[in-house]
Amino acid sequence: MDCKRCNDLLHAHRDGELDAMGVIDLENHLRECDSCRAQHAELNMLGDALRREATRYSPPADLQANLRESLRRNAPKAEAKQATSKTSHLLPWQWAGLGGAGTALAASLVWAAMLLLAPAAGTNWMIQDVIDGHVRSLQVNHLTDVASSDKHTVKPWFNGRLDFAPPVRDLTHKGYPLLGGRLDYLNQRTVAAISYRHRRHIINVFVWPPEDSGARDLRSYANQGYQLLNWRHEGLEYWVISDLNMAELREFSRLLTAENAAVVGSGGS
Amino acid sequence: MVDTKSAYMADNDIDIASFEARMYPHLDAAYNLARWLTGNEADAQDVLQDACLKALGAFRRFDGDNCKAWLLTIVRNTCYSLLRKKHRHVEIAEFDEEQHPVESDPSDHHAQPDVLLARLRDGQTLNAALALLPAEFREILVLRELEGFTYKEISRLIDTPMGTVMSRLSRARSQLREHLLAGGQPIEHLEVRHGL
Repeated sequence: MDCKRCNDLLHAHRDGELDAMGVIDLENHLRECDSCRAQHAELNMLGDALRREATRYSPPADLQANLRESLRRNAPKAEAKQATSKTSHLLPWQWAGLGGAGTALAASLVWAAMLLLAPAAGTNWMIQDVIDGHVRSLQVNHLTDVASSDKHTVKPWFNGRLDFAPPVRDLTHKGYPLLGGRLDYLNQRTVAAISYRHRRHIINVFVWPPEDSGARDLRSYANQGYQLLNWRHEGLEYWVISDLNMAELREFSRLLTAENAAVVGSGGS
Repeated sequence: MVDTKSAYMADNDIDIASFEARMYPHLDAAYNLARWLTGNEADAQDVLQDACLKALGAFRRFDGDNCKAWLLTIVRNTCYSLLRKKHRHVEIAEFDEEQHPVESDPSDHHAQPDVLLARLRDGQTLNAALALLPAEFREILVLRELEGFTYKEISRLIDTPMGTVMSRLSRARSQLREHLLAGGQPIEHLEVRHGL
C-alpha cells in the first residue's frame, strides 16, 4: 500500500467501513510511514473530539407538548369512511354508557385497540423499562451482583441462575473494561445485565432470548438523556443503554457484536 | 360485530397515538439535527413542527421499520427548504463531488497533530468551527460522528450515492480541520458559492 492509497482509505478505516484485509494493509503502512500516521492521528483526534464535545442540543422542555397539541390541531383529515352501524363513531365513554365498570372495560378495550394497531407502542414501554433498569443500577452497590473484570468469573456466575448463557466479553483493550454482571428484570422476565465502563460512563447491556425469533436490524433511540441501542444476534436480544454519546455507543455495540461473532466462529460461546 | 377501531377511537386519534409512540423516541436526535442545520432554536422548533405534521400525513403509507432514519430524512429536507426560503443556504459545489472524486496529493496535507490538539482542547472552538461549515458538511459530520450512522445509512438518509457520501465526509473533515487550524480567522474557499 502506498501513501496515495492509504490516504484514500483513512476515512473508511476510522469509520469502521474497511474490510479486514484493508485494515491489516493500512495498519502495516501506518507503522512505517510518519506522514500518514500523522494524518491518521489528526483524523482520529477530530472525530473523537466531535463525539465527545460537539453539542447535542436538547429540545426545549415544551417541545413535545407543543408537538402533541399541534398534531391534534392540524392533523390531516382521516379518509372518508363508509356508513357504518350507529355505535361506530362513539367515543369509549359514550359507548360504555354510565361509567363505573363500563368505563373501565371501555378504557381497557381502548388500550387493547391501541396495542392491536400500534404494535411498536410496546417499544416505548421497553425503552422506559430499560431506562428504569439502568437508573436503578446506578445507585450505590446496585450495579453488579458479581463484580469482576474477568469474564471467566462473570460468565459462570450466571449458570444455574438463568435459563440461558449470556455472552460476556472482554473489551478492555478497546477501552471498555468489564465491570461485572447481575440479574435484572425486564419485559416481565429475568434477564442478564452485563456492565461496562467507558471513561466515566457506565454502559449496561441487557440480554435475553426473545419469545419470537424474528431478525431485527440495529435500532437506536435517545430518551431522557440516555442513548439506547437494540438488536438481535445469534438468537439473543440485546438492549444497550448509557449516557455515553450515540456514536461511541454504536462503536461499542459494533465491537461487542464482532467479538461475539469471533468467539462463536471459533467454536466457543 | 362492532369494528373495534372505529368504535373506540376516532381514526385521527389512533394514528396520532401510534405515530407518537414510534416517533417520539427519536425527537432528541431530530431536534439536534434540525438545530445544527438551521443554526438557531426558533427555526429548529418550526422545522420539527412542520416535519412532524408531514410525517404524520405520510405515516399511513410508512411500512418500513427504521422510523428514526425516516423521520430524520423528513426533518433534514424540511431544514433545507427553510434555509433556501430564507436565502441562507450556502451551496457546496455538488458537481465536483460526483465527477471529480477527491484526489489528494499526500504532500499537500501537512498534518499538524500537535497544533490541532491544542485547538481542540477548547470545546468552544470545535462547535464554532462546525457552525462555520456549509450545511451539507455539518450534516454529514453530525450523522457520522454524533449519530454514528454507517455510510450506507447516511447514503439512504440523505439520498446520495455512497461515493458522494465518502467524498463529502472527507471534504467536510478537511474543511473543519482548516477552520480549527486557522483559529477562527475567515478562510477563502473557492469551492463554496452562495446559493439563491
